[in-house]
Amino acid sequence: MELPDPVRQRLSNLSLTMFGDSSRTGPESSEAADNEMVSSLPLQMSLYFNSYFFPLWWVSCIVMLHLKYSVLPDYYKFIVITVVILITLIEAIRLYLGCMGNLQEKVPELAGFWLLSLLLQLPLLLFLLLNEGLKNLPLEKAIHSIFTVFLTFQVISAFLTLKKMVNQLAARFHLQDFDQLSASSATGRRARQSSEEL
Amino acid sequence: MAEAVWSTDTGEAVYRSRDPVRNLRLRVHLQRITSSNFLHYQPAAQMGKDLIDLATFKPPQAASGHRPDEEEEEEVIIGWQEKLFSQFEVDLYQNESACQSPLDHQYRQEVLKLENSGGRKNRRIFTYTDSDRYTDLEEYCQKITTSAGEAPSFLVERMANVRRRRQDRRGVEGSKLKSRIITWEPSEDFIRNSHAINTPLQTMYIMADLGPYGKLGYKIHEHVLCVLKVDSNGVITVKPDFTGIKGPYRIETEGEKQEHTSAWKYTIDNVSSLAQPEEEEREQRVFKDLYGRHKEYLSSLVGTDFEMIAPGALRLFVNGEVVSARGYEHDNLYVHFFVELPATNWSSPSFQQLSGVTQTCVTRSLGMDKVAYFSFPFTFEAFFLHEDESDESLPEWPVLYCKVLSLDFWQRYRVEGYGAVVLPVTPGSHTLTASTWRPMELGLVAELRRFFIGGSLELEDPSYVRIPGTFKGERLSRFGFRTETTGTVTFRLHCLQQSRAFMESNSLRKQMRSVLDRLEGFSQQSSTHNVLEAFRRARRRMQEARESLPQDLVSPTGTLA
Repeated sequence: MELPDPVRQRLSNLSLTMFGDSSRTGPESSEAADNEMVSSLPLQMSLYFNSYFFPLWWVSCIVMLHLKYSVLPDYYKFIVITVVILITLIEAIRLYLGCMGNLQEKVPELAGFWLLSLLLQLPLLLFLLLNEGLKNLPLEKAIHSIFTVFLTFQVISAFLTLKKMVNQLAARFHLQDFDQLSASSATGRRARQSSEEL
Repeated sequence: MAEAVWSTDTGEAVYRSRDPVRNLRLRVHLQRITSSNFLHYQPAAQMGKDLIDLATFKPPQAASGHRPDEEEEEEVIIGWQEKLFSQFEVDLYQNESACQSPLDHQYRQEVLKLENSGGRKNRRIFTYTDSDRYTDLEEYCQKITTSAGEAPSFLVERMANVRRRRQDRRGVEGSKLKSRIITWEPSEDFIRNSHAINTPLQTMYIMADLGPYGKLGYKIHEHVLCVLKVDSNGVITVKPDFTGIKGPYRIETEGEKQEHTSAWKYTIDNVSSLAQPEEEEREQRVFKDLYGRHKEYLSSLVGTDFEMIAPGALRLFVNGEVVSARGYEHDNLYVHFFVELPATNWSSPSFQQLSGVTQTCVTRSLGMDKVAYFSFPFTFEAFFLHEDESDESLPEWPVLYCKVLSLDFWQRYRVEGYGAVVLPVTPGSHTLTASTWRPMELGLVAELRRFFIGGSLELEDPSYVRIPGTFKGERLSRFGFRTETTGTVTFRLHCLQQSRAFMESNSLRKQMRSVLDRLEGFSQQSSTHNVLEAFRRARRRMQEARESLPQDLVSPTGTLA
């Protein structure tokens, strides 16, 4: 499964704008080697454990909702069901994009993962956790808290990984540019020698 | 008077012939046995006396009004599949309404032509060819032995219904059989009629019409004299056998009254003409040319050149196989492998490849281990050239390095192990197992990184498994290098070695145990070769000098001697 091309381009531009350091210039700013792996171990570990935690979260959420469904107001019933469905769908897409972006070092996928985590999943989960009208039970508070910790950690580590990945790609691009410059200068030198011989 | 000698053995005989079967000729002699002839019968070799006896008795028979001799005796020479019509068939085919199949129409035309040209030349003897629809009922329940009281067994009854398949099938039966391809509920008759053996046969019956005088042409008087069967392999079956020097066969017929009972005797002889000596020579020459041309064709396919290599060189040709890998942690294994030739004296053709990668293989549990079977073949060729004669050190041998990796769902690969095997020194088939290890780093972070992300330490130079190529010095130290033991990789190598020294050593009958001894013998063989070459050149130079001397110098020497 690949992201559509317009979405990829927009995510690439967004990543370049947000995570690129325009203040730095030249290859001197490159910290890592050209062929070093920039996948993040903490991010991958959190994604791994989050994949195992999510089914547990889902079952607990459904059971608790079933228990307290009769005492909820009518408008809260509809809102909670909608929020749970949205969290489920977004979580599946988010985990897949996170694994693909981190392990295969693809910036657009990782940027999509970061945006889904920050703009959609975290507000929805905070709504479930902090809204007093939902009459949260102790188990719900516990699993929602763990999920929030996962999301917060992933947002922070994904930001750092994206920053590092974008800088490495920019450095690689600059190095290629310098290779082309050196090649063209060699061509110019050869042309100058030919003119001298004539 | 002499006792009559009858041949009672009516078994069949089998002959083999490479001649075309159309050259077969049979002579059938049929004769009625009367009381007077029966009493005075003589062997067939003494026909002269019979003639005298017949001449003696001829006037009384004529006076008494007996039958003429023409009806009593008949002799016919029959060729293979030659159609002789019986009286019944002549009467049948003259009636046009009886003709139904194309064969019947053909027979009708032949019968009409025969009648116009003066009638048949045969009287009682006639033939049924392979095309006829005649079926011999006696063949279905024939006896196995000569016993009179034999009852057919179950096997005989089953085999009697086996129908002979014809080589050329014509007539209405073929079209009827082809109308239905599948018979869902076959009846017993259908099974019996459709049971056909594999070898196609051509059959011919030699029949006789043994009816009374003037009453020929009835089916009930027909008798089988001889049955001939020939298959495509040249096997000829004759039942009964040719009489040759044996006595004639006898047939007894039952008439309406007791006095009409008559007996007949007949002989069957092979009168096929032998080939002329010129024809036989021509046939043998044709066969010889055919076999010679075929041998030349095979020789041209194989070729006459045997590929030789330079003197003092050894050619090593290896057909190898990466058989399996066993005992690794992860799934989806694949193996990088390459052959390293030593820097001194070894070379390889530039076109061929000394490295390879196997396919990715999923492991399966076999006992306690997880095994991945690759069965990946590879081939390479290398040459060893021993130029320095004074060097006495043993030659280094090529080494096969391997690197086992695993690939996961996210296209991440991990190094599972490094290993190396030295190629076998002796030719033949060898199965080698390389134990592998992988470098590891102290600390928990490295293992976590390997598990979650997939990156791990790699060797920059794979030859570090043995002696690195960049190593210069006397002592190799690996202090500080940490490894972990992993699984094993199995290789199968089929080695061929070719060298001119092998041929020379065999001709000199030397006993060399292994190639190392042969390689040590290279210098000795080369020295001997050089000495012989120098001696041959010196002798040629002396001969040229002697020939170029003037004659006057040579003759005084001869005179003095």
